[in-house]
Amino acid sequence: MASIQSTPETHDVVVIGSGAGGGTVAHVLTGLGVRVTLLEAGPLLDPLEEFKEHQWPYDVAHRGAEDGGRRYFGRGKPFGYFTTTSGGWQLEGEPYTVGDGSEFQWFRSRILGGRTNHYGRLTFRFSDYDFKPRDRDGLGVNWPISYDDIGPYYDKAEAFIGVTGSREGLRSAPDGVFLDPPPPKAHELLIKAASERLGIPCIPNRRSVLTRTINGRPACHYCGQCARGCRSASNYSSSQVQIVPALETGRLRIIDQAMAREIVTDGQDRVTEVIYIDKRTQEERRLRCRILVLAASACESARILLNSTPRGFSDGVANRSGVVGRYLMDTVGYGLAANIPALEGMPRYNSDGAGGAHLYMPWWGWERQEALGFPRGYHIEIGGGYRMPSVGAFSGMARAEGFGVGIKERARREYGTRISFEGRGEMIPNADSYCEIDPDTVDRWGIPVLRFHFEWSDYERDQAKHMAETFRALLELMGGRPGAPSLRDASGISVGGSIIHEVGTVRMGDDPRASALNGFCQSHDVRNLFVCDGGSFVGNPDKNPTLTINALAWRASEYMAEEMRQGTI
Amino acid sequence: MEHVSRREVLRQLALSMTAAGSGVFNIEAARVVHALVAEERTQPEGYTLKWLSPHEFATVSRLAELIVPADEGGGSGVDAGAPEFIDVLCSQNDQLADIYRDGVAWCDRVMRDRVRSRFVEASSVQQTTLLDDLVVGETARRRGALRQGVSFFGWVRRMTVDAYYTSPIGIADLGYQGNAVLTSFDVPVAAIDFANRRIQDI
Repeated sequence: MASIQSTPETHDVVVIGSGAGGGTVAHVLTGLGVRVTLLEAGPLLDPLEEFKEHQWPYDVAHRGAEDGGRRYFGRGKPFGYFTTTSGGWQLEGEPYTVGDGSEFQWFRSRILGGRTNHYGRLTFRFSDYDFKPRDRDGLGVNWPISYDDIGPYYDKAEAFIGVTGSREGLRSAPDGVFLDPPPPKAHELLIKAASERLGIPCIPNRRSVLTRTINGRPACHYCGQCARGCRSASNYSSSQVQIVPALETGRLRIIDQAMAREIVTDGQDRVTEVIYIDKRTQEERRLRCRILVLAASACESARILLNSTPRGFSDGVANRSGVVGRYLMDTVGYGLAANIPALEGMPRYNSDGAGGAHLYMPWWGWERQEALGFPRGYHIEIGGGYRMPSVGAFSGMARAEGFGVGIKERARREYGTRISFEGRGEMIPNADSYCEIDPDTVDRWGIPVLRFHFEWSDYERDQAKHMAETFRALLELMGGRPGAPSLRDASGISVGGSIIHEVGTVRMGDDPRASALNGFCQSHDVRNLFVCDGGSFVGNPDKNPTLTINALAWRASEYMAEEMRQGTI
Repeated sequence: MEHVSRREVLRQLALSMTAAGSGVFNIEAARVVHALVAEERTQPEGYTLKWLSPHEFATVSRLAELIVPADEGGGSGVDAGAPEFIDVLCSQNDQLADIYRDGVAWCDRVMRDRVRSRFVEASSVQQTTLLDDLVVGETARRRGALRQGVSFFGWVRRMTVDAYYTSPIGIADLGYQGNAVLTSFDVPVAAIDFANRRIQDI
């Protein structure tokens, strides 16, 4: 391969990656008059082709079991045939490795919009205390920014993408710019009662789904299928909500099927070019740029930096601190479910709603952490309702019944009575969780791949134990008898990476010796290089990371535009 | 439904599906089409076997009927298209095809040993007795001679149940009312009242 071609043109801002970070940068910068060139490692997105919204299982001969019944053999699409993942835990020809004794899973989506096309749309602000964790309990590291710095950008991001919610005045879950939330589903009323009995607040969910028309996007039509992608763009995805309007400015150019390989500098600590592989021709190409923004996902951005070792950067571009790849975090996950007999016989209704739950439980123990015996907190996501029947949903029940009419009778009785709780908790960064370049493995483009190392500490395991006790108490209060936890590992804690909230590999900070970026996501070492994905995170509070990626990228973009205007970069 | 109007429904459905970015999907048209397709399937000439032999198809059909029989709440596994579902997937996957080919042969062999006829030609009582034995075998510590049959039965049951609950009749049996386009989301008062009564017990 590799006839090296150079484009003489210099691009103002080149962005690598089109997910929550890259989409926000493209949208904000083009809106401020800046020309942006976006590299995406996958294809462009055709919602008609990609989104299986409104399909019934019987619309396909395999009913969702996939061709040849792949799903039955454990080789189905992640999250099911009808979702729009365009990626997976393993990508053909693009491996990653895991160090001895470690477990880690890395989910990658190679398509315009990346993982925002199918994610859960949970949209939570960090709390003020989340930015200063070390001040609070001596663990982890403080962020170089405070809630007051990011607050205005949470406002802007929420107002633009549209987020449901209610004003609650809870310190652990700051209020934002909210659209009216949809009303609770019937089973959620029962959950709310049980939750409040245990002193746990249960409030309207905060999700980026429109309950009224804003910014030219129609309100949700309540098919409940957000994970399949939304053709009417009534929920947030960077592809439809940010990249489409950015294209309309005429200032965005997208280069798809472009696999970024490495960064070239000029010997004076400035990025001059990015080298990428054109997947269609397998040729190496170069783009000259004034500013480079990495938004390829925390680990992929770290990989690009570590794979770039021009003169002066023997450990990777923007890595004089040595922290690139380090302090990798995921979210602590734990799940438990049970059938609730009290829900049997409820009058059936269309409970699809705005996709996902209409209520959730934010963290409630921030004032008595010491009594709880573990630092930091978690929120609880709830599941239930009369869901569209799918392949596999009744297998366990059928097995328990044997055969015959008993299967049908039991399905009628138990359908819609299953309630599940998923805990999502904060991980404290640790030195044993990191990614590095594997010296022995390259991907199909010849690019060295990442090797992961991941360890939970007792902080996380104790937290998962608390989740287990809480969920059991909630389910039993409603009359359920929970079985085994839904996630493996002896303690029930999730496998690192499996919650798909990996962050922290290019962390920001005030001290250039202990951090790679400043508070504007700008490299300490290379002033025209920014990292606008979850890589910049200093901690990983229980709030799902997407909104904070949006807000940090928005803030960084305004800063970038101003610096460009002043000629500083 | 008349043929002409059927064609018209299909045309409208195709139109609604290609309305780029409109977010409009004609659910009613989709329902009608699927009902028509289901109707066609019940006609003998409506389905051409893709992989199973007629005898294997008949055996799988009888098993599907025994596993999910028709009752007042809905049709059977056969009505839901389970045999066709299995046939299609077998035609795409050698591993699955072997499971069904060997499995049907196993059922015939055991039934011949027991009553000197193939599975489909045995009486209902004889067929049900074999399935009862297999269900017992599923939880038994030692399955002995039933081992292969237990495994095959697990496959037929899983796929029959899946076919039933992913079919229009299975979905109607459960009472799933979603996958609709609504202008607002409201919970019916009857469901709220029900939940509120249950809350009293907490």
